[in-house]
Amino acid sequence: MTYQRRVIEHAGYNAWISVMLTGIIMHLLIWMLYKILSSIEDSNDIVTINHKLFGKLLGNLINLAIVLYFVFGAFVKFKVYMEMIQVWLFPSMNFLPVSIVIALLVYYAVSGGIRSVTGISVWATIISLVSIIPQISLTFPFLHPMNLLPLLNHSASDILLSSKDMAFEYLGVETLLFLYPFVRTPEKSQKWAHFIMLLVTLLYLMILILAFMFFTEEQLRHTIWPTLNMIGIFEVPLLQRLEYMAISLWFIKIIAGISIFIWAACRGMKVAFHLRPRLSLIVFLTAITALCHFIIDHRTVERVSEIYSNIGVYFLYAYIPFVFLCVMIRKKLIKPI
Amino acid sequence: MELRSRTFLIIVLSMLLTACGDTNIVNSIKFVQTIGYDAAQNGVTSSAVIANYEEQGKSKLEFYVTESKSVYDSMPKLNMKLDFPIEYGQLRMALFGDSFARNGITTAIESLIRDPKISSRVHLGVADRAALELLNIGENRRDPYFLSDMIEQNMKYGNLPMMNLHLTFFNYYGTGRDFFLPHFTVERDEIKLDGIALFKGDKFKTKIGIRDSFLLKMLLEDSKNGSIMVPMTSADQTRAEYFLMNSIHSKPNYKVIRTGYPASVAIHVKLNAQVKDVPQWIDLTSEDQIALLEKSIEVYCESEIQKFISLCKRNNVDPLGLGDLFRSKSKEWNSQEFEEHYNALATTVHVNARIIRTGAGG
Amino acid sequence: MVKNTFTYNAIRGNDMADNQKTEPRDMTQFLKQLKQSSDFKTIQLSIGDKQLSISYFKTLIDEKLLQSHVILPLQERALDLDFRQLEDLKTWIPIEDIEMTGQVESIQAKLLKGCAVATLDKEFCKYALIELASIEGLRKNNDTENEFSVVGPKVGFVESIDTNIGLLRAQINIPTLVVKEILVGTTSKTRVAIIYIDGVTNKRNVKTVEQRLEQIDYDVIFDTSQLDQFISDNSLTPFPLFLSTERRDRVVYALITGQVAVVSDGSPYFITGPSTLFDFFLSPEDYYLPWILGSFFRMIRIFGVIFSLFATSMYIAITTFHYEVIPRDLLEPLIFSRRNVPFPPLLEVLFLEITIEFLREAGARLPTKIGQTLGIVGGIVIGQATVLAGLTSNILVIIVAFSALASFATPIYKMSNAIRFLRFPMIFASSIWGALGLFIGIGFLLVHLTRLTSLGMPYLVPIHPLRVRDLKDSFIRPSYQFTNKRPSYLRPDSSVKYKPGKVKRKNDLDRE
Repeated sequence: MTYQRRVIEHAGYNAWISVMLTGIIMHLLIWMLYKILSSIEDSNDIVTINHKLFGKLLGNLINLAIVLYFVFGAFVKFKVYMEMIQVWLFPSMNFLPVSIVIALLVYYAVSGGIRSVTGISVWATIISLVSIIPQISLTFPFLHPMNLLPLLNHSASDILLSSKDMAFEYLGVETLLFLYPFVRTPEKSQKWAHFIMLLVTLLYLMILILAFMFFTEEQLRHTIWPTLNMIGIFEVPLLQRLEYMAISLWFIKIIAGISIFIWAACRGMKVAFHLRPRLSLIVFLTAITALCHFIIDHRTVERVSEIYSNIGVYFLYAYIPFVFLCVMIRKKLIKPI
Repeated sequence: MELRSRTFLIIVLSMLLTACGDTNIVNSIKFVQTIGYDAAQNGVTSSAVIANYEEQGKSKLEFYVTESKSVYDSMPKLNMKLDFPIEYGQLRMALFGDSFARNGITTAIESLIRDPKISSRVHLGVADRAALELLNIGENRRDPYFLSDMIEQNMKYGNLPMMNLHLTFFNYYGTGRDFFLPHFTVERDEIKLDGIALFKGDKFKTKIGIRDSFLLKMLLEDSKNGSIMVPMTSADQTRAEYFLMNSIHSKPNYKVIRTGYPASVAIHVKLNAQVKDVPQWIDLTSEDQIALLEKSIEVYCESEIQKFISLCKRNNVDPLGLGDLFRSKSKEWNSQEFEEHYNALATTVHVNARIIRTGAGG
Repeated sequence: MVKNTFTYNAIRGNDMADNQKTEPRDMTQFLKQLKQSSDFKTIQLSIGDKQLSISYFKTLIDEKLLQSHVILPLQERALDLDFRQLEDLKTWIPIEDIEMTGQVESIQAKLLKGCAVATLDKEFCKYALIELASIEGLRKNNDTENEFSVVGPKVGFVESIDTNIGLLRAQINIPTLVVKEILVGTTSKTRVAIIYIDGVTNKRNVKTVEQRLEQIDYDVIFDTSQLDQFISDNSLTPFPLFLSTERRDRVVYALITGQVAVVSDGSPYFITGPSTLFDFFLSPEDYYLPWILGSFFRMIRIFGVIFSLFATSMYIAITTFHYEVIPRDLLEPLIFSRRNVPFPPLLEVLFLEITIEFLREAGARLPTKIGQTLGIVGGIVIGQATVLAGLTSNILVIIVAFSALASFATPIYKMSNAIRFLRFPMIFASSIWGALGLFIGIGFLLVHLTRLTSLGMPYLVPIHPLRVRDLKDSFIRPSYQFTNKRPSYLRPDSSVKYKPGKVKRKNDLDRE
């Protein structure tokens, strides 16, 4: 939602190149993930792979880190959304009850197992696909294609830096590390995963270019939620100020994201430490709700999401290739025997 | 377990009862629908127009005026005068008084854009006197949206280019662009839209008439509607005669010829027009006469556009976004440098007019 | 599912002892029990040197049949000395269904279903059961009353299971239509039939239905919709998990697409399953109209459901929290209509919604003619009066009336009830947190829907799990050209329904 502002920090209006670049890197990562998960027999999730690669103790340490990373991710998603609600809808509301109700909803979704988690994600996908179409057509009269020019006026390093910022938007592919055992036909699903990644990249690219043509660069730097401001310009016969509805509609997307992260974390706890998923689910949700209650100011939230995005980038760009290398080396070593 | 989850549920439910969001029930708030800002002795005079819906079809306008140190504390001050909380969510129009606009309106528009409640479709405008005075005349119209509707309809069917808070902001922050706002005056105790106020930075610089605003519209967007009177002289008549040209569709095209200084740009406008009200001696069925009309439209528009651009250059304002145009074409563009050489900018204008309709009846 | 079987098993365990008491140990005790009822009759006939006694419930059997087919032929042979044993009755009496048995349980079951029991005085352990059941007291009229359609057949089911199955067989004219009968209900011993097409319906579904029906332990089965609740996967849901219908075309359609149908004796309703959410928004009429119209009306119906679910809660959300969203032209009428209303929008909406629910319930209980009058009185007079009294705003009256109207567009009554109910949580959610609350409600609804299963099949299929190929007959009703395959989510044994010929469209210009 806010990535348009974040990516232009370095690369300015050339950031669309960064988006494409990140998309390509993500394809590479997906390919690596599939290679990692399919090459060691009888261990097709990250927990057992970590055990095999790094031994029981170190492996479990890494697993715990991964689990906490997922919980942290869910928390950041939750809190960032809450911030938006606070600014746009209810500036002076007590947020504890809402957080509790949302936590209950997440509990309900995650306790339904993989099926209801993927179910809510399907709805979220449908919603985001459907909501993009009117966005394009309704902003059309306000677009200034000239904004995109000149095509290349930033250095390669700026573009790379921006693509690092962009990675934050793609965080979530790593849930594949836990989802993989539930995929029925891995070979076929890899094709789908690449296809969806392509679609997502195109979507991001489209929204970004729309925003670039809609705002001038300086204006975009002053806008915290560009997408919302864009939607705000629309007027349909029965409703105006559609951004108020859009924020609420986003709720479904947010819930889907949180549910998947929490589900992955619970799954990780179960496989690594044989904890009952229900128990870890309750603990995680309580922790998130409590944290949300105590972190209130915008600056802390910014900082926390900054930290998360940095960890995420290292997770994607360092940990996964490292595991990939380890798996490949192991494969080479074991083969002769 | 069963008992525990039940008590938990009860706790949650009882919490819900105390957890309502901030309610703004629609009939117990006051909507500011039009607001005016004027420069005062030491600060700002804000005037708010609020409709009071007493009876269907006969809304009464309420008018509240308050003085404050700056734009920012006008709302809390206004609240002191009202029985219901004041809300800006339905604001449609912000009007700036002449002296206020000349002093710079940054604080006002920034405070508008920062408030998420305020729509980016809000219209801004400049009055040729105090905003308060102009709104007072508007008050007896009984329509809180009178001014914004006026702007809206003139954008759609008249000579005004597209404008609103978002676009103003776009031009304000855009490099190599200057924004412009509709300009109001009073004629026979009625509010009249009499042109466009051109701004430099956030300061009101100069005003152009309604004819020039048509040119601006034509140069900025793929426009529809709008009309001007075009003069023509004929061999047998010594004095100039006028005919009315309605634009049906126009499309500007800019071609940068030289990016180095002095820069030069070629402007090419395609114009499809309707002509029906012409001097008597012209026969609209004759091919030659139509060509003559087309020619005179082209010549007139070209010279008027040149005049308009030189006016802009003289006042150092850039409502056309020519700076932005050069920025997009060259990597070494620099706004300061461009501004210094703005006066020397060379423009060639070419208008290609086609009369595609001449009304019903010859 | 698991939860349900547990509860029913528990009931079964407790009642086992009680049930045993009603089962008689031997015949004499059984007869003694029966003689307490005054409609239990025993007649004695002497044939040759033997005494034949015939016992029956007067109220259960067709007495004319008894006289003409049993007593008359027996009296004609009163002096016949050939009569040696009970089996000889089979050759004398012109009724094909005569069973010889000595088991008390089966005698009891049959007797109570309308059989006459014949026995010889000397032979105590042998009884002949003569089928004489009467079918009086059942309605003859089998119009569809509650699921009406303008186009298409109006054949509905009645309360007799045999008639119903006969109606089905008349339309599915193949030998593979299988009807399996079991008895359900400890007191009513209701005949329940499981119907499916062999070679089409997935065997797993049939087996699941059969198992769940057999596990039911309940006293009297009044209606098939009770069975629906007993065998449903989840009892904590307002949504019906099986489609229940009284229309023959619906049941036939369900059977040929590979679903299982269940009907109990004494009920005009069939339930078919496994069902998906979409099944409840299909009307047979969609298939009788040209596909373009059918699709259009189907979409109208789906839109109607969405509208009636969210219209009033949206009103609350907007008027209580998000006044910015109101378009400026609507602002004046809205404020004006709410100006005299002293309540917050929540109370206003609840007041009207509950009034509408009263009207519906009252209208459903009253005879048709009075019901209609009541609808008009309620709708117009109460609506007008509440607006005048300043209890509600007139815009809200319109919204509530629309949403009530839209909820009637759902073709299946159970589903429209579910939607009626679900409006209220939505109203409360949006009165607490506005649009956010509304979407929290929708979130719960969506998660709930994805968690539901019908006979183990996901309820939201084909949306989730996504089956792109089966989506064609969900939002729109495609041309018959494309509906020749059974939906894959039912996992039918054979997937092709029919093979459409290729259509080649040529316009006149090509031909000329």
